[in-house]
Amino acid sequence: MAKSIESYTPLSETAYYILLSLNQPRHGYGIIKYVEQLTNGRIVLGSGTIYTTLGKMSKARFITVFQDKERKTIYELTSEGKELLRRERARIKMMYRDTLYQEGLFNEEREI
Amino acid sequence: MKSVKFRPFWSYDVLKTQEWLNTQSKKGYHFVSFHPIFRTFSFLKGNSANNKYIIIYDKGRNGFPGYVSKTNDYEGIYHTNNYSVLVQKAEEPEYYPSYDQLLSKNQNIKYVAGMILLVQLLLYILPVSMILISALSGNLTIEYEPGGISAPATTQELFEGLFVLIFLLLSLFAQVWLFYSYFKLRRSNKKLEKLCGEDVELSLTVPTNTILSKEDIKKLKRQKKLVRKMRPAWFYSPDTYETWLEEMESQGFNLVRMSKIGNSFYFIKGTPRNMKYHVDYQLKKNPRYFKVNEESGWKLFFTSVTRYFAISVWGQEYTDVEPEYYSDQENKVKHAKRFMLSYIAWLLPMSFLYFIMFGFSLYAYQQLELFQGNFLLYFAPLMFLLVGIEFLYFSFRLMRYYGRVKSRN
Repeated sequence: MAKSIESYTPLSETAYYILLSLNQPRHGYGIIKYVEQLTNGRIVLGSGTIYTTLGKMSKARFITVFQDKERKTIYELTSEGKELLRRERARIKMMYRDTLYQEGLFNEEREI
Repeated sequence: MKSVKFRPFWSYDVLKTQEWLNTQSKKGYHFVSFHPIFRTFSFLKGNSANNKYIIIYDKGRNGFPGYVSKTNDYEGIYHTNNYSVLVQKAEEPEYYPSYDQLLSKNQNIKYVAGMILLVQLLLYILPVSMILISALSGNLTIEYEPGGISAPATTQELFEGLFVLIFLLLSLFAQVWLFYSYFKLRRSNKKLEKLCGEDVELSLTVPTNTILSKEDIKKLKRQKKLVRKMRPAWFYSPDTYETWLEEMESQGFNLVRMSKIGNSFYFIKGTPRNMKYHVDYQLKKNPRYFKVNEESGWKLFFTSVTRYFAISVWGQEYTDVEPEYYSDQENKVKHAKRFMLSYIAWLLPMSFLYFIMFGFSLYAYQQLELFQGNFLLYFAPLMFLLVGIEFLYFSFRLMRYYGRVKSRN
């Protein structure tokens, strides 16, 4: 499974935000709404994008499907999905750290 | 005391099998395990109980689903590589299992069985109807030659006869299995589709909520407000027709429905609207397909009658921000690529085949010197050529469509 996780990284921004929103089980439209709220409206996922990405993710066993009380389909991360998200989070944190560092250097140069 | 029961096609109707397990437990036979190859269920005799069994198919999962250990709503009874059997403990559990994967598997079996039956039907329809017609018109004579087989039969002949008999029995069994699979799954899949959340109501290919009543049609026709536009083979340039529909809307022609084979569009002359249209192609529509789109505000106008290789037409009205069906470039391009490839995968070889048939028939006619003044004979080769060109043209249009989507941002 470890090899398979690597072949999925780096995730696209869309796929990353979909996994990131699954801190609790949500249904398809719930993911769209949550990501929109989380990014202050920067990312509004299209329903086709959600449908295709969730299908791909559940085929790769990163998410699993079940239903809530109202018999609506909801999605949850599997342990493989959590591992994938953990790796991506670590990578993006490093990118963020490097970006901040370099930003500082760029600003210093301008002052000289 | 252990007891074993045979249920060969239990997974074709899992809801019924669950019911069966429930009644068995009422009789005192409690489910222990099943054998995936011999298709048998093992039970242990005990006291009567009102157990509620649930069977889940989840390919390659290790252990029971997460909600079994997290909540006390279910008890895991049995687990193989692909199946889990649970007993529902709570009256109203927080989570329910999804029959999603089992349905998907059964849909695939039904599709393959259905395709084989269709091919068989097409292959047999001509010879069988020819025999029937000649039998009905009294022209059928059966020739029978007695004394063809030497008696007594040799061992080799006996073996050959036995082989033929086994072969015939096997093919009969396969045929029965095909029919049974197709018709059984056609019914049981519908139940599971509903349970998996598919609630779209279709009249063949068009949603029933787009169909107008007869009085409305009469009224609209009298007011000359109903416009029908026929556009055969439009879906080979889907993006062009998305734009066309949007332009019609901005001129006040509101799309109300499409024809059942999908080649005509019906508009009502109304008020100009900001509408976004999307022609979607899916290799397979799963039960969640319609739900997630409808929740996002898309209205369905047309969807292919088959679940596989399906085209659907979606539209959404908006005020200022244009809604996007695929919000990211990656999925947008992949969708167009899938659309194009799955069509040209058969259009191009077919076109090539028709060109070969064209050349071959011309050559054969010339060799046989059939063309002496009889121009009617040109009909068949000419048709082959035309169909070949047509298929090539459709492929070309799809490739152009993919090119446009790829270069657009």
